[in-house]
Amino acid sequence: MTTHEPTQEPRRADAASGSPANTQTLIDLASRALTEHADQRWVEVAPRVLSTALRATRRSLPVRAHAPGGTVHVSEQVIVAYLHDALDGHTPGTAVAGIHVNIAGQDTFTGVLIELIVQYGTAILPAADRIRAQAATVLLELLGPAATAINVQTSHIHVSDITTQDPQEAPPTTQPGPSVVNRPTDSAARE
Amino acid sequence: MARPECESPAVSGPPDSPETDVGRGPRPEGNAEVADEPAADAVLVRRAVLGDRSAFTTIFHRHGPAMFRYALNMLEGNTQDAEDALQATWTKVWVNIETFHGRSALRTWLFTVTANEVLNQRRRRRPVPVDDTLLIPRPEKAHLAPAAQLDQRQLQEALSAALTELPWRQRASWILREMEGQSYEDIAQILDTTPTVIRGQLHRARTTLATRMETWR
Repeated sequence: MTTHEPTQEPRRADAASGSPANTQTLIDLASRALTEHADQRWVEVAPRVLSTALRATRRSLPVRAHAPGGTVHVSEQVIVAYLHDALDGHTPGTAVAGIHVNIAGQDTFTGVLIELIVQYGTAILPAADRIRAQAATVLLELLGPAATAINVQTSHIHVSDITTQDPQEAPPTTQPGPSVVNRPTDSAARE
Repeated sequence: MARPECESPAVSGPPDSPETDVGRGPRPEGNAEVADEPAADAVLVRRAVLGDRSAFTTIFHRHGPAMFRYALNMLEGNTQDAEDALQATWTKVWVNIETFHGRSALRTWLFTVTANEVLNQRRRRRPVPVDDTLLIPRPEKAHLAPAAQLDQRQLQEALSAALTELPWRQRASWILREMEGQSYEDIAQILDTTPTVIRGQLHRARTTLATRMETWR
């Protein structure tokens, strides 16, 4: 957000002199007044705008899950959000860079690819094992036996970047992640 | 083929609902929100792509005021129109934030989306003026006393009226440069033109505004 200096009253003697500099002073003052006016209105409308925006549904593929009452479908985005919430920042030295849910025909879950950013010096394999176990727990909770029927080996952990800083502070990698296996053949057309 | 919208009947939604995520508690060690330094836009985008609503909320509060100022001044101070434009903007940003690849600053990308939605709002409201030439009628002197002319609200209304009479591209350029401090290059990207054109538009806008505001000295 752009910061603005507090509004100042113009010196009337200067303003009456008619020089271009004074005209610019008036424009600057008016500009600050416009900014303050808009910011006051924004305070009123911001809560409505934010809550409505967050209720919008992102495009997502359905994933079949098994519930006690029968088969249900879970949004791919729901799985991603739950995994991110459970994994990001919970394993020291790691941050989640991306999560890709693999779905085969008939909305069948076949695995998940989790991209990590790892801080230099962190033991990658133990961290990956911990995250894989956490992911399996989340998937079991969300998908039921549909997740346990899938061997956890299909839940890939991919280290997409190594950073010397806090991985939570690392920006996203510019390189695209590895290709996701078991995607439907028409997945590219859906993008 | 468009990907189908899918609501989950098995779960109520993502881990944090819009009503509760704003006040979500701090995360364990290493989380950017816990640190004193505010998280960088790129970090927030990475987390928002993965459904982190608190990261998106931070982006919203960081850049929303400037976007609203732009929309409000481009839509002649009509608060309802500006809110509608911002609503469409932020909904698109939430749904399509994965399409932001960091080739420009996040703020520039957000202003680009806002500028498009402001144009859409103007189209819905009335025909778009296409003539970029400017006829500048000098307004009559205000009938208020000089002291009242210098009142802050009067100045604000005077500048708002002067901005309204600027052609769209001149107005957008002036607001983005003078009120929001965007660079010529960023403004050119937002308005889909070149920095040279922006310099020309700004020069004409400044000249016109100075002429307009002379009556308020």
